[in-house]
Amino acid sequence: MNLIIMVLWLYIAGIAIYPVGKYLKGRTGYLSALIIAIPLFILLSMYKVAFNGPLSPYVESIDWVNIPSFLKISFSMYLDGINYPIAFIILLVTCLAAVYSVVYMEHEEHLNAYFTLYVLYAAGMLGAVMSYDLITFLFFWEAMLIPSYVLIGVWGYGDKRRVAYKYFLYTQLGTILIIISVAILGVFSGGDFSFTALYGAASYIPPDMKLLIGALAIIGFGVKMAIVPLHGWLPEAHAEAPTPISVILSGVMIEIGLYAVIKIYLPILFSEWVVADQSTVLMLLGLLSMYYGGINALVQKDVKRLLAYSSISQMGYMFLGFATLSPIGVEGSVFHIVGHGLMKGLLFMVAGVLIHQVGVRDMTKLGGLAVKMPVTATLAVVGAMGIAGLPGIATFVSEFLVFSGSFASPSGYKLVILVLAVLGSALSAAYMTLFIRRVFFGPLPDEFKDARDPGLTMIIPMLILAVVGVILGLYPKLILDVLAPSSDFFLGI
Amino acid sequence: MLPYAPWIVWIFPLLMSFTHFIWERISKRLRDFIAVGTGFVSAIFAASMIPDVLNGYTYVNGVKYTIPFDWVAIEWIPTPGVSLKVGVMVDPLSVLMANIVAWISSLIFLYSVEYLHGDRGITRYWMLVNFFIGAMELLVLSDNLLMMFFGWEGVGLASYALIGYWYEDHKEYWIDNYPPSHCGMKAFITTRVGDVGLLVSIVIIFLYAGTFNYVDLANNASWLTSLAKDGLLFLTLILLFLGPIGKSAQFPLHVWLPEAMAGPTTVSALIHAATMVKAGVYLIARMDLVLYAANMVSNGAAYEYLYNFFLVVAWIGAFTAFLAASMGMVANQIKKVLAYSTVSQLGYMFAALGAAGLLMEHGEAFVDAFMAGVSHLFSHAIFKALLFLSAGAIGHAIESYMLKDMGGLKKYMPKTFLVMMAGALSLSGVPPFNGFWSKDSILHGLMGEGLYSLYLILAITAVMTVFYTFRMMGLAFFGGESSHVKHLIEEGHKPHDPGLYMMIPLWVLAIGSAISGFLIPSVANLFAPAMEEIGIHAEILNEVYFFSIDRFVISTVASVSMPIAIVLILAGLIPAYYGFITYKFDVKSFIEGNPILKGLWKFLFNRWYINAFYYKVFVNGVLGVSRSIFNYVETNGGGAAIKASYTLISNAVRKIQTGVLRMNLVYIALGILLVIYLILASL
Repeated sequence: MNLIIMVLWLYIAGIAIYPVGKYLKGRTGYLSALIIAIPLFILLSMYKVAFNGPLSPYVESIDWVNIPSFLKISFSMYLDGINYPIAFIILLVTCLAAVYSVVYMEHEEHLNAYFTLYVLYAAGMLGAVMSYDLITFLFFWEAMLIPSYVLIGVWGYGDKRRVAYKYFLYTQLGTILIIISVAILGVFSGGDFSFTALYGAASYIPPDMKLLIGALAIIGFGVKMAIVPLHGWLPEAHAEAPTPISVILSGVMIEIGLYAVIKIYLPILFSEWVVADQSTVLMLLGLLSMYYGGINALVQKDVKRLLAYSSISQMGYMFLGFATLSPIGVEGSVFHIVGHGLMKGLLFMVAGVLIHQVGVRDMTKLGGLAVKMPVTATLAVVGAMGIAGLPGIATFVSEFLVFSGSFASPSGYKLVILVLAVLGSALSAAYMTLFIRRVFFGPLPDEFKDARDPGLTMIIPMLILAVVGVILGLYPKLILDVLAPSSDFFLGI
Repeated sequence: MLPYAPWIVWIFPLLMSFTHFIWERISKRLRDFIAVGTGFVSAIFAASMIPDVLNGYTYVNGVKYTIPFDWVAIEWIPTPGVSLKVGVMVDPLSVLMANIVAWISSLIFLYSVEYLHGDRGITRYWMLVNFFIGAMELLVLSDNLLMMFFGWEGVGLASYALIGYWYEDHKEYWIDNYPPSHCGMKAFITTRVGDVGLLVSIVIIFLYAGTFNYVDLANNASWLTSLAKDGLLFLTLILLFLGPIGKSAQFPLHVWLPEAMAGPTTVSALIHAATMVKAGVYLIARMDLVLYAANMVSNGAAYEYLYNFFLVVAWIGAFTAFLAASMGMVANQIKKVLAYSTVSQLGYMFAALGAAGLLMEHGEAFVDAFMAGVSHLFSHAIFKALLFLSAGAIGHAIESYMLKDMGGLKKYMPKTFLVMMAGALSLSGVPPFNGFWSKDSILHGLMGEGLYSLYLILAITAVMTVFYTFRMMGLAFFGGESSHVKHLIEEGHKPHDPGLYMMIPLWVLAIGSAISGFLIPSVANLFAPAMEEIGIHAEILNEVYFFSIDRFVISTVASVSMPIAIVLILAGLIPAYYGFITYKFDVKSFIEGNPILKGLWKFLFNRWYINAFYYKVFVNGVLGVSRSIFNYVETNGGGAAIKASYTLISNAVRKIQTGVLRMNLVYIALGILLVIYLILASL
């Protein structure tokens, strides 16, 4: 019962933080990191399980409701090649961001409540990606929304209440559409919501209905993924959230929407029904996000807004990978979830360092900090190069697979899309080098004479993210091998 | 070869680059020593591979260095289970490049010790240059396109960071109106545009061939024919060529190289003259060999597309050579003259390699043109590094790179003058300096094969080359001292020759420029087994005069191109001599007095307005469009529209909520009727 225990442990220990944290005060963050590290190690020890293909996942299940041939809901968790890397990145990033929070949040009030919600947030995300039952999935999907809403609304910046409210409303609207699509799916699967049953029901669903379900799911999850034009909530929420939460929002949470589309809907909807038109339309949607996010990132003044728009753009890559409807593209898409999680997490942490050490996040006022903060500057360059897709970093491998996928897609416009997609990476390079230049290069303004690198508590999490990103970039086989058995499955091949 | 040489050559500097911050803690001298030593270790390992190549390692039987496990295994539909192994290859081209890179780097490292002495960021400098040679050696030694791309982007990163080395943007390091951090960014993004094409073509080739490996691409031409059948071959190759266009600063992506001079001069010499910018030339040379073999295997099935592709390569090269040389004639900064010159000389190499591709169906002519391009790469690396380092010595002495701040330096820096003259003669193509032999073989080859239009444009460029070279030499070393130099002397900072660390590399390179022309036949001999391997018979090779030194010298000197070469040199030298060395002819007033010449001067000085055009369209244009999208669509468009529509709907719906009890009863009644209807309808 490893998987169920992992999730339950996070819930129980997370709630226990509340009373304990009152005594630990500032050090609660270390405790939270420890709490999250335990499932991380369990997960790592189960590396072998990840090689199971999606047809034979490792499943643990407890019945919730079981009325034969009417309704069957079970509390079930699974692990296979698709969700293993995502679960890994969720736990790694949340664990590191917890350590990072210790210093970053040191001047804040009610830290016990913060860390309680923080761990519950992580638990919700982990539960969502490990659910093997659609209703369980929805439960955790909501369970990860609520803590993050509170975290933004209470500990955020600027107009935080309104931002959190907007975030909640947008996401909730998406969830309503998702619930409708789930209900329709349930009708066809005879009330059995386990993924196996849903995949089995795929052939009974008429094409028109598949189109409807697909549209509902893509719009519904598209809100969370912030696919343009459903992205309205993201720039504000990611920019105004407390930085460790921004790390999680951008780094791992928005990608869970994509994971759900790939894992749950793709095999059902497209299994015997790969159509070039759908692929083209979806790929164009991905390209739109990619360019729209990139173009807006280019003109931002606020560091965190730039990164938020960059997330929209990067989400475009992942969506493009999915939209290719080809195994190699989907593989790249899932890999990009990991690579982007590492690099964007790293960059948001850099932004947090600026806020914490310098107190300024307006890039027009920053400059020349490389002299005073060489370590941060180096890590920022690694992150920037990661987003720009430089070889040697995990994001290059994933982007390469996404690009290959777009050329292997059934679409008739694949060459144009391939060229546009790769050209998008030049845009990423532009806004990322602009960011580096404005923050770290140029003359040092007088008021930053005393700026310096943060302590190890903030540096080490960033360093780990950078190192893992480079390891996966140089030896992507670690994850590609896990993904490979699953890749054929996505499209029923 | 020394054990594991093709691996250690690049892995060792890459690893060492991350250790310099440790050595710095112990001692600064130790750090410098280790950094320079790293270069020489790499160079020795690179040199140890030469005998193997002479003994017949070629790119087919040299590939024994693949590690036994997969690096990446990619599952995809057309050929499932494609796996990619990390591999290096020892073949003439890679070994030649590896040696050029490693040895020139090592000499430049030695020079850097003195040149950058006392600079604050020197640990970072060592880290980046060591990283650079690691990445560059990876680029040339890799046996597949994907690993090559790793090196390709690695050197780009090093170049970006080193151009912006003085990132604090002190005014003294600006190039015209551009601060170093801007220049680095410009270089990175411009080359990145080219890399987009390269990456797209790698993706397409991979999806068609199912491999990245050069040898597999050469031996199995099915990818070539099926690409040709789908009408994609020409496009794919052109996209591939975009990479070299960006990296080797060819038209239309040449604009970044002049600004790349914002970095330390050693960086300009190493990265932006001798090695990194050759990466594009290397890739095209590599594709020459791969496509030659693939073309043989497929019996010329796709030859017409290949021909068109190489036509583009040759013409881009020739045009760039002309374009950049014309800009070099009016440049105001010594490093910019040399930068334009680099672009121009790279154009020669592309023209030669493109011509080689055009002559693919004629074995001997292919070898001839290919070797001409490769040997020009070899000699250019030496003389251009020498010229840059000499310019660095001048800059070190007078603290300025503006030509107007120089003048009359011959008296104060006689040794620098002497070595720089060797470089200048070589660049101008004066026998017996190395530039003569390689440039002459390019021109000779083009004329001999009847490619007269290419020949003509490159011959005119040769005249301009001589002119700008001696204009530069004249402005720097001859004539009267400029006010800047006088000022320095008054302050007691008399310009003087640099010290030993800087002079040793200068002497080595100067001697190299003078005599290495005679090494060209040996370089060609390295390639003989490889040429046989790709199907060129030994008897054809014997007919190519290249392969023995006496025949090489005699046939070059006795050929028709020799008198032409002398005429070309004199045509450039005489105006430069009277205008800038003896100052008998007043160029300035001559140009001022003639409106056409003045307009031309302005046109050239403004770089044909290409740079300004790019800034207007691609920098300000993109930023402007982005800004208006952000302002009008993002801020006031989507979000505001959603808000407005919500308000609208909410106001409309609100009207139903009258609060009047009787209205509510009516609603309830309507609701019940609706439910009944639905139930009845579904029966």
